[in-house]
Amino acid sequence: MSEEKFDPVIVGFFCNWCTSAAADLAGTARLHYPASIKPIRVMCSSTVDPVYLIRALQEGADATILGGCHPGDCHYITGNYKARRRVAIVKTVLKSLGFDDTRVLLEWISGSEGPKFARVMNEYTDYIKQRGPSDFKYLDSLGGEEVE
Amino acid sequence: MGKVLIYGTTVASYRAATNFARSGHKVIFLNRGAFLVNKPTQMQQQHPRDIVNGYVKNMLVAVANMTGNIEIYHNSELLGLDGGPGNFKVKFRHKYPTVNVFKCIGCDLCVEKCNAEFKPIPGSIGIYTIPDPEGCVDVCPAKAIQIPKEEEREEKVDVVILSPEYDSQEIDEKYGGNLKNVIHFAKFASLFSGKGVDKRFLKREDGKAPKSIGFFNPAGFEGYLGSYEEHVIIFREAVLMKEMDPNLDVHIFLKEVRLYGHNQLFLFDKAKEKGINVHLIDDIEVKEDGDGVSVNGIHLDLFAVLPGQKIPDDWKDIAHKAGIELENGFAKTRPFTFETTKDGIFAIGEFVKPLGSAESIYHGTAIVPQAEKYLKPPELPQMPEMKFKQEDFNPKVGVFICECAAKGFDIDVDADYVIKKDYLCLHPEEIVKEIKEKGINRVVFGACSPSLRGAMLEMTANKAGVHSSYIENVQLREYASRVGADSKKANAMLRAAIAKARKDVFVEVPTVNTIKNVAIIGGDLAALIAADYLVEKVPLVYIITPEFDEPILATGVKENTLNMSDEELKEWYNTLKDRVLKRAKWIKGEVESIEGSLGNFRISAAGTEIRSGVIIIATGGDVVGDGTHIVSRMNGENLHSALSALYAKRKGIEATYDLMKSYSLLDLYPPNAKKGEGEPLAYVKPRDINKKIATLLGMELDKEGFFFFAEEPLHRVERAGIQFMLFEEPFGGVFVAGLAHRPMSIEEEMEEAGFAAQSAMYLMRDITSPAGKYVSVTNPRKCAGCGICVDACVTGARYVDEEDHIAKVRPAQCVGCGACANVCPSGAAIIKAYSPTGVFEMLKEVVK
Repeated sequence: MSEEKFDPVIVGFFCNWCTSAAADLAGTARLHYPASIKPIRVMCSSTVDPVYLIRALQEGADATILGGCHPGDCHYITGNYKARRRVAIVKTVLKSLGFDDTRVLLEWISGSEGPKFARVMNEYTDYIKQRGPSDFKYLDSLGGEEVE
Repeated sequence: MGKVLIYGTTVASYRAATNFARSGHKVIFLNRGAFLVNKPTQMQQQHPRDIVNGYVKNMLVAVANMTGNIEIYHNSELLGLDGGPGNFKVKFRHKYPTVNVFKCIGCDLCVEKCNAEFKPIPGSIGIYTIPDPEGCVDVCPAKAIQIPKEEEREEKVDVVILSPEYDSQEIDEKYGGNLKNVIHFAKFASLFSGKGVDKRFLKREDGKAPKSIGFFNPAGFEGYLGSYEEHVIIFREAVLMKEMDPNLDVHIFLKEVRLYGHNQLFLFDKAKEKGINVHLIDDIEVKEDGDGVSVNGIHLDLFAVLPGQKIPDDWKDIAHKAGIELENGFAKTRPFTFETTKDGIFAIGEFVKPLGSAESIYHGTAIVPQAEKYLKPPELPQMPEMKFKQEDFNPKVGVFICECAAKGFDIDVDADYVIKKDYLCLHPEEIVKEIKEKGINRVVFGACSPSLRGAMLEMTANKAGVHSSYIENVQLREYASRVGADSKKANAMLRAAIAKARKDVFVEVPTVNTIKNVAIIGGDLAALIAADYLVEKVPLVYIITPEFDEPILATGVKENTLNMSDEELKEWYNTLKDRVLKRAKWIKGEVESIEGSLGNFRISAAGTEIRSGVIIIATGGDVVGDGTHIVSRMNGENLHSALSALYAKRKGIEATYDLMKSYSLLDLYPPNAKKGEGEPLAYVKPRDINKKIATLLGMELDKEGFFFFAEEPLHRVERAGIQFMLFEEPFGGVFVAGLAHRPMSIEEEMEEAGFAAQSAMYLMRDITSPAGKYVSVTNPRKCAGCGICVDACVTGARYVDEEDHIAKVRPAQCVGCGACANVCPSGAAIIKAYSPTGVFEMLKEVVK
């Protein structure tokens, strides 16, 4: 893949009550952010199994974002705390296996924070662009499978 | 089905409109002003306007769409009112709004073609302002744009409910309304709206960050009324500011502190603890001082004023037209009801007395059972039997693309059918036709957010026979076309949804087996009032109490506003008790155990086992103190009697606190403690039995021993959300009313009991799981019965069956968060709609 035209794929798991609502607001407010974000609406950030995050990277995503409600604001009371613990574990696992743990981002964005949503998406995409393609892809290329 | 006319734009009137509509009555809703813009409610003084607008509109639009029972007229003015209950003729004038928010689909054509101005609002389509509506009428595909014209109408209704609002208040010049660096509280609150409380956003108009900040509410000053709510909000905001930046100099200026018991008072402690200066003042002088303002000689960089409440002039006019009497400027109501001096005309909300939003909600709910005596029996919509196909092995995916959402995209996806249409939401019949003709059994919509028209599209597909389990919604508009995405992203999102739709499995959403009886625990007055409302409507009402309390006449500050003598009150009480006990079943004894959950409680008391769907707790409280002494005031005469009395009580001094008879009718008759004026107050002590019931039900008590119920959430947005949510379901079928909840006046007991009874009625209908297709299920073959999911569940929906040691789900309580599926070590707990199979398919497609 050529360096100068790196267009990352970022999978976003957004909770139904806060971050998806913020994404809605960003949409109605016409706040532009990079098309590299591919949103998947989930009911709660705790619905997202750590496997989903790793699987996304494995399938070829360059990064994943998990968006939830601010601590204390969870629609399901404590779902976001559970998500936080899980993301911490995923990060540790990635790191100890020698992968880049910044490929998984957890962010609290509430339903009225449309501008914040757009800002986070912009900043994270820029960051991932700097980091380049994900290590998982590199791993794939070593195995010689599915390389285009 | 009765017909109700509601006049006014308040928290109470909105709540009443939704409640009547949900109870199966027709509502003519006369909105004064153009949808909360010209006539801001009490709430708008406190919250950023966009939040209020968003939530208010959402609730009303949702219920109007759901029931089809609400007819709304904007900019209305009452002209005349004739007739009596069941036969009122109401004349009114109304003016169309330029944009009908109930029809607007947010397609943006008016922005492109008529230079309309657009303002986004959370959770809604937003507000469009159209400079030249006449030239734009034909542009709008949804016919939402109208030429604003006036019209006079006459409607025949059974009952009239008046709920006019306080005037929109600007800051009085006396309080610095004309100075710069003096800002309206709503404007101050919106500094942080949508951004979070952060130092960066605290800025004055000139861009400078203030080092000192002051808050003020004129309640208690000449002509200004107020409830506790303004003070709660000021204190909370001040504490937030101090927590955000401990170096900020924060001042609060108030005539007296109006924080009552039940945790509000702890805000005062917290403010003191954080080092906020609370100035209790008799006079205020605001003038320009260099770069800021000086308030009573204290220099402030920024001064936020929450304008008080004043009785507006037009209330007299409204009362005159309706032929009702006023008292102290407020509508006069008969004891224990909202009925005014004229039969069939009710008054609710701030038209009755100064109150907070929580009380407004009680008013808007408790009005329903009261007004129903004049209404014909309600007609509840029969849910249509939904026919769905269960062809798991031959998925036929139909993709419906809305051109409004997919504007500018080149959609190229692989599905059985790809159907592109202009404005899907305006042509539901065509969607139904396509689905039926082509035999589509899986539907993917490429349209807009479920919070806008997406939900309605799902309903349309349901009507065509496709079950919700097989419907996927891709928000092409909000997630792609409006945020500068390209066709590649749109196609990837659609491909993912198609892949998931192919894998989707059928989820049967279980209905809750609701037992239609109600159990009321306790012998408070609220128990009798709630039972009185319910006996006619539910098969059986149980009242579990060893004995009934005597009526406690809450003594007002100056006079008893009930205008009833002790004998009259006793007679009223005995009549009520006799009437209730004829129909309800009185279980003489204490509650021994409570098991089960919403829809199916099993209570054993006095040797009998009772089954009920809903529990109302009305254990009451003990009134302590002989009520003949003046409240001792700790902090001079300025602290509100309630506050001082509570403080005194905590310090072990025998004192009393106000039963919150009327939050600040005190302003009309200010007592003077120095002169020995003021009426005796009584103090309410919670009963010990609360502890036992709280333990049995897993509820919490506050420090004093009262039940927590519908408490104020801390966050501003959340608070607005709670006020504009239809919120009886989260309580899990347990309501608290009367003195078990907090000290309150006899009228408030009536309001809370009405709220509990009316809300219980909604839960008595057959309800499906609130989680919908996201309901959690267990695969019995994989379940080891370890119980980890039981600990993970926040709503208590999961339990391990003692017989077969398999985790089961109570669908009434499952909210579909997926926490159980995530912790389950053996993969037995699953949310079928988010099963790994479907999600993995999505991930494969989305990264392509």
